[in-house]
Amino acid sequence: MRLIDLVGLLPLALLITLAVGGVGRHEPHEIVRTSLSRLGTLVVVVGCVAGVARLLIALFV
Amino acid sequence: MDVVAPPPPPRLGPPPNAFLVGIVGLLLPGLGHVLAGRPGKGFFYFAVVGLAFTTGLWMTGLVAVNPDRDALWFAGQALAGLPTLGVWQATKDLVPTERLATFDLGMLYTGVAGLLNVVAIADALGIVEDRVAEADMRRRSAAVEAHLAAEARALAALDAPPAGSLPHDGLPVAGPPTEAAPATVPSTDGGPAS
Repeated sequence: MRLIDLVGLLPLALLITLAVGGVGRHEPHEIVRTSLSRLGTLVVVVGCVAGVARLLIALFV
Repeated sequence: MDVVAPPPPPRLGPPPNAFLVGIVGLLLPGLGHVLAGRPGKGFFYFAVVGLAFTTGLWMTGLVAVNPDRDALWFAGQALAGLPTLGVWQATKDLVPTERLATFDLGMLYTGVAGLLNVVAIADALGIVEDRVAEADMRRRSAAVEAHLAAEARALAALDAPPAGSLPHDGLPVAGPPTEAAPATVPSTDGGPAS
Protein backbone atom coordinates (compact mmCIF):
# COMPACT_ATOMS: atom_id res chain seq x y z
CA MET A 1 0.00 0.00 0.00
CA ARG A 2 1.29 3.39 -0.97
CA LEU A 3 0.73 6.58 0.93
CA ILE A 4 -1.61 7.80 -1.77
CA ASP A 5 -3.79 4.74 -1.18
CA LEU A 6 -4.65 6.11 2.24
CA VAL A 7 -6.81 8.71 0.49
CA GLY A 8 -9.29 5.94 -0.27
CA LEU A 9 -9.67 5.42 3.45
CA LEU A 10 -10.44 9.06 4.13
CA PRO A 11 -14.23 8.81 3.49
CA LEU A 12 -14.36 5.76 5.73
CA ALA A 13 -12.45 7.64 8.41
CA LEU A 14 -14.94 10.48 8.10
CA LEU A 15 -17.88 8.08 8.53
CA ILE A 16 -16.21 6.43 11.52
CA THR A 17 -15.58 9.76 13.22
CA LEU A 18 -19.16 10.84 12.49
CA ALA A 19 -20.53 7.68 14.09
CA VAL A 20 -18.21 7.83 17.08
CA GLY A 21 -18.64 11.59 17.45
CA GLY A 22 -22.39 11.17 17.63
CA VAL A 23 -22.27 8.91 20.66
CA GLY A 24 -23.76 10.66 23.67
CA ARG A 25 -24.42 13.88 21.75
CA HIS A 26 -27.73 15.12 20.44
CA GLU A 27 -27.09 18.55 18.91
CA PRO A 28 -26.04 18.41 15.22
CA HIS A 29 -23.42 21.15 15.49
CA GLU A 30 -21.95 19.42 18.50
CA ILE A 31 -21.72 16.13 16.60
CA VAL A 32 -20.07 17.80 13.60
CA ARG A 33 -17.61 19.71 15.76
CA THR A 34 -16.57 16.60 17.70
CA SER A 35 -16.35 14.52 14.53
CA LEU A 36 -14.11 17.03 12.77
CA SER A 37 -11.91 17.26 15.81
CA ARG A 38 -11.52 13.49 15.94
CA LEU A 39 -10.99 13.29 12.21
CA GLY A 40 -8.13 15.76 12.53
CA THR A 41 -6.61 13.71 15.32
CA LEU A 42 -7.02 10.52 13.30
CA VAL A 43 -5.45 12.00 10.17
CA VAL A 44 -2.52 13.39 12.13
CA VAL A 45 -1.89 10.09 13.95
CA VAL A 46 -2.20 7.92 10.85
CA GLY A 47 -0.19 10.39 8.79
CA CYS A 48 2.59 10.50 11.36
CA VAL A 49 2.73 6.72 11.70
CA ALA A 50 2.76 6.31 7.92
CA GLY A 51 5.40 8.98 7.54
CA VAL A 52 7.63 7.43 10.19
CA ALA A 53 7.22 4.00 8.63
CA ARG A 54 8.09 5.43 5.22
CA LEU A 55 11.12 7.17 6.67
CA LEU A 56 12.35 4.01 8.36
CA ILE A 57 11.96 2.09 5.11
CA ALA A 58 13.83 4.76 3.21
CA LEU A 59 16.65 4.81 5.74
CA PHE A 60 17.17 1.16 6.51
CA VAL A 61 15.72 -0.97 3.75
CA MET B 1 -19.04 34.38 21.80
CA ASP B 2 -19.81 30.81 22.71
CA VAL B 3 -23.51 30.09 22.78
CA VAL B 4 -24.63 27.44 25.19
CA ALA B 5 -27.03 25.03 23.54
CA PRO B 6 -30.32 24.62 25.35
CA PRO B 7 -30.84 21.24 26.94
CA PRO B 8 -32.92 18.78 24.97
CA PRO B 9 -36.60 18.84 25.81
CA PRO B 10 -37.68 16.45 28.52
CA ARG B 11 -38.98 13.15 27.26
CA LEU B 12 -41.96 12.03 29.19
CA GLY B 13 -43.44 8.58 29.22
CA PRO B 14 -42.02 5.25 30.27
CA PRO B 15 -38.56 4.34 28.96
CA PRO B 16 -38.44 1.68 26.24
CA ASN B 17 -37.18 -1.83 26.81
CA ALA B 18 -33.39 -1.92 26.37
CA PHE B 19 -33.38 -5.46 25.00
CA LEU B 20 -35.97 -4.55 22.38
CA VAL B 21 -34.02 -1.43 21.41
CA GLY B 22 -30.87 -3.52 20.95
CA ILE B 23 -32.59 -6.15 18.84
CA VAL B 24 -34.40 -3.62 16.67
CA GLY B 25 -31.19 -1.62 16.21
CA LEU B 26 -29.41 -4.77 15.13
CA LEU B 27 -32.09 -5.48 12.54
CA LEU B 28 -32.01 -2.03 10.95
CA PRO B 29 -29.40 0.65 11.68
CA GLY B 30 -30.99 3.61 13.46
CA LEU B 31 -34.29 1.92 14.27
CA GLY B 32 -33.23 1.47 17.89
CA HIS B 33 -32.92 5.25 18.19
CA VAL B 34 -36.43 5.68 16.83
CA LEU B 35 -37.72 3.31 19.49
CA ALA B 36 -35.67 5.12 22.14
CA GLY B 37 -37.32 8.43 21.22
CA ARG B 38 -34.57 9.99 19.06
CA PRO B 39 -35.76 9.56 15.44
CA GLY B 40 -33.47 12.27 14.08
CA LYS B 41 -30.42 10.56 15.43
CA GLY B 42 -31.73 7.25 14.14
CA PHE B 43 -31.84 8.74 10.65
CA PHE B 44 -28.31 10.06 11.15
CA TYR B 45 -26.96 6.60 12.01
CA PHE B 46 -28.98 5.01 9.22
CA ALA B 47 -27.34 7.43 6.79
CA VAL B 48 -23.82 6.88 8.14
CA VAL B 49 -24.03 3.07 8.21
CA GLY B 50 -25.94 2.95 4.93
CA LEU B 51 -23.44 5.20 3.18
CA ALA B 52 -20.50 3.07 4.33
CA PHE B 53 -22.27 -0.12 3.30
CA THR B 54 -23.42 1.04 -0.13
CA THR B 55 -20.04 2.62 -0.90
CA GLY B 56 -18.33 -0.65 -0.09
CA LEU B 57 -20.85 -2.58 -2.11
CA TRP B 58 -20.24 -0.34 -5.11
CA MET B 59 -16.46 -0.66 -4.73
CA THR B 60 -16.68 -4.44 -4.87
CA GLY B 61 -18.97 -4.53 -7.88
CA LEU B 62 -21.98 -5.67 -5.79
CA VAL B 63 -20.34 -8.94 -4.75
CA ALA B 64 -19.24 -7.95 -1.26
CA VAL B 65 -21.71 -10.07 0.68
CA ASN B 66 -21.01 -13.77 0.27
CA PRO B 67 -20.67 -15.95 3.38
CA ASP B 68 -19.29 -18.88 1.37
CA ARG B 69 -16.45 -16.91 -0.18
CA ASP B 70 -15.72 -14.34 2.55
CA ALA B 71 -17.01 -15.80 5.81
CA LEU B 72 -14.95 -13.55 8.06
CA TRP B 73 -16.02 -10.38 6.27
CA PHE B 74 -19.60 -11.61 6.35
CA ALA B 75 -19.43 -11.83 10.15
CA GLY B 76 -18.76 -8.10 10.25
CA GLN B 77 -21.25 -7.26 7.51
CA ALA B 78 -23.99 -9.22 9.27
CA LEU B 79 -23.89 -6.72 12.11
CA ALA B 80 -25.57 -4.25 9.75
CA GLY B 81 -28.69 -6.42 9.99
CA LEU B 82 -31.40 -6.76 7.38
CA PRO B 83 -29.62 -4.74 4.65
CA THR B 84 -26.86 -7.36 4.62
CA LEU B 85 -29.41 -10.14 4.43
CA GLY B 86 -31.23 -8.39 1.61
CA VAL B 87 -28.06 -7.76 -0.38
CA TRP B 88 -26.97 -11.35 0.15
CA GLN B 89 -30.25 -12.68 -1.19
CA ALA B 90 -30.23 -10.25 -4.10
CA THR B 91 -26.63 -10.84 -5.18
CA LYS B 92 -25.97 -14.46 -4.29
CA ASP B 93 -26.29 -15.53 -7.91
CA LEU B 94 -23.82 -12.95 -9.18
CA VAL B 95 -20.49 -14.39 -10.28
CA PRO B 96 -17.58 -11.93 -10.27
CA THR B 97 -15.89 -11.93 -13.65
CA GLU B 98 -12.93 -9.85 -12.56
CA ARG B 99 -11.51 -8.66 -9.30
CA LEU B 100 -11.80 -4.89 -9.10
CA ALA B 101 -8.87 -2.86 -7.85
CA THR B 102 -11.04 -1.45 -5.11
CA PHE B 103 -12.39 -4.83 -4.00
CA ASP B 104 -10.40 -5.07 -0.76
CA LEU B 105 -11.20 -1.48 0.14
CA GLY B 106 -14.88 -2.14 -0.53
CA MET B 107 -14.85 -5.17 1.72
CA LEU B 108 -13.33 -3.01 4.42
CA TYR B 109 -16.10 -0.43 3.96
CA THR B 110 -18.87 -3.03 4.25
CA GLY B 111 -17.26 -4.70 7.27
CA VAL B 112 -16.76 -1.41 9.05
CA ALA B 113 -20.38 -0.50 8.27
CA GLY B 114 -21.48 -3.45 10.38
CA LEU B 115 -19.17 -2.40 13.19
CA LEU B 116 -20.51 1.15 13.01
CA ASN B 117 -23.97 -0.27 13.61
CA VAL B 118 -22.66 -1.70 16.88
CA VAL B 119 -21.62 1.83 17.82
CA ALA B 120 -25.13 3.01 16.91
CA ILE B 121 -26.71 0.30 19.07
CA ALA B 122 -24.47 1.26 21.99
CA ASP B 123 -25.57 4.88 21.61
CA ALA B 124 -29.25 3.88 21.51
CA LEU B 125 -28.78 1.83 24.68
CA GLY B 126 -27.15 4.87 26.28
CA ILE B 127 -30.25 6.90 25.44
CA VAL B 128 -32.43 4.22 27.06
CA GLU B 129 -30.22 4.34 30.14
CA ASP B 130 -30.62 8.12 30.31
CA ARG B 131 -34.38 7.80 30.04
CA VAL B 132 -34.48 5.20 32.79
CA ALA B 133 -32.45 7.54 35.01
CA GLU B 134 -34.80 10.42 34.13
CA ALA B 135 -37.87 8.36 35.01
CA ASP B 136 -36.26 7.28 38.27
CA MET B 137 -35.41 10.91 39.07
CA ARG B 138 -38.98 12.02 38.33
CA ARG B 139 -40.35 9.27 40.56
CA ARG B 140 -38.00 10.23 43.40
CA SER B 141 -38.83 13.92 43.00
CA ALA B 142 -42.55 13.21 43.16
CA ALA B 143 -42.06 11.09 46.29
CA VAL B 144 -39.97 13.80 47.97
CA GLU B 145 -42.51 16.49 47.05
CA ALA B 146 -45.36 14.41 48.45
CA HIS B 147 -43.39 13.77 51.63
CA LEU B 148 -42.57 17.47 52.04
CA ALA B 149 -46.20 18.44 51.48
CA ALA B 150 -47.34 15.94 54.12
CA GLU B 151 -44.75 17.29 56.56
CA ALA B 152 -45.84 20.86 55.89
CA ARG B 153 -49.46 19.92 56.57
CA ALA B 154 -48.47 18.19 59.82
CA LEU B 155 -46.41 21.19 60.95
CA ALA B 156 -49.26 23.56 60.14
CA ALA B 157 -51.61 21.45 62.22
CA LEU B 158 -49.15 21.49 65.15
CA ASP B 159 -48.54 25.24 64.92
CA ALA B 160 -52.22 26.17 64.83
CA PRO B 161 -53.28 27.46 68.31
CA PRO B 162 -56.27 25.84 69.94
CA ALA B 163 -59.61 27.51 69.40
CA GLY B 164 -60.46 30.29 71.87
CA SER B 165 -56.91 30.84 73.09
CA LEU B 166 -55.48 34.36 73.24
CA PRO B 167 -52.50 35.09 71.03
CA HIS B 168 -49.84 37.64 71.95
CA ASP B 169 -51.89 40.63 70.83
CA GLY B 170 -54.69 39.74 73.17
CA LEU B 171 -57.31 39.22 70.53
CA PRO B 172 -59.25 36.01 70.66
CA VAL B 173 -58.57 33.57 67.94
CA ALA B 174 -61.49 32.61 65.86
CA GLY B 175 -61.90 28.96 66.40
CA PRO B 176 -64.39 26.46 65.21
CA PRO B 177 -67.95 27.26 66.17
CA THR B 178 -68.92 25.90 69.56
CA GLU B 179 -72.29 25.09 70.90
CA ALA B 180 -73.96 28.43 71.66
CA ALA B 181 -75.03 29.19 75.23
CA PRO B 182 -78.78 29.65 75.76
CA ALA B 183 -79.75 33.21 75.09
CA THR B 184 -80.97 35.33 78.03
CA VAL B 185 -84.31 36.96 77.53
CA PRO B 186 -85.16 39.90 79.85
CA SER B 187 -88.32 39.21 81.71
CA THR B 188 -91.10 41.72 81.91
CA ASP B 189 -91.31 41.70 85.68
CA GLY B 190 -87.68 42.75 86.13
CA GLY B 191 -86.64 39.42 87.53
CA PRO B 192 -83.80 37.39 86.29
CA ALA B 193 -84.17 35.98 82.89
CA SER B 194 -84.71 32.37 82.58
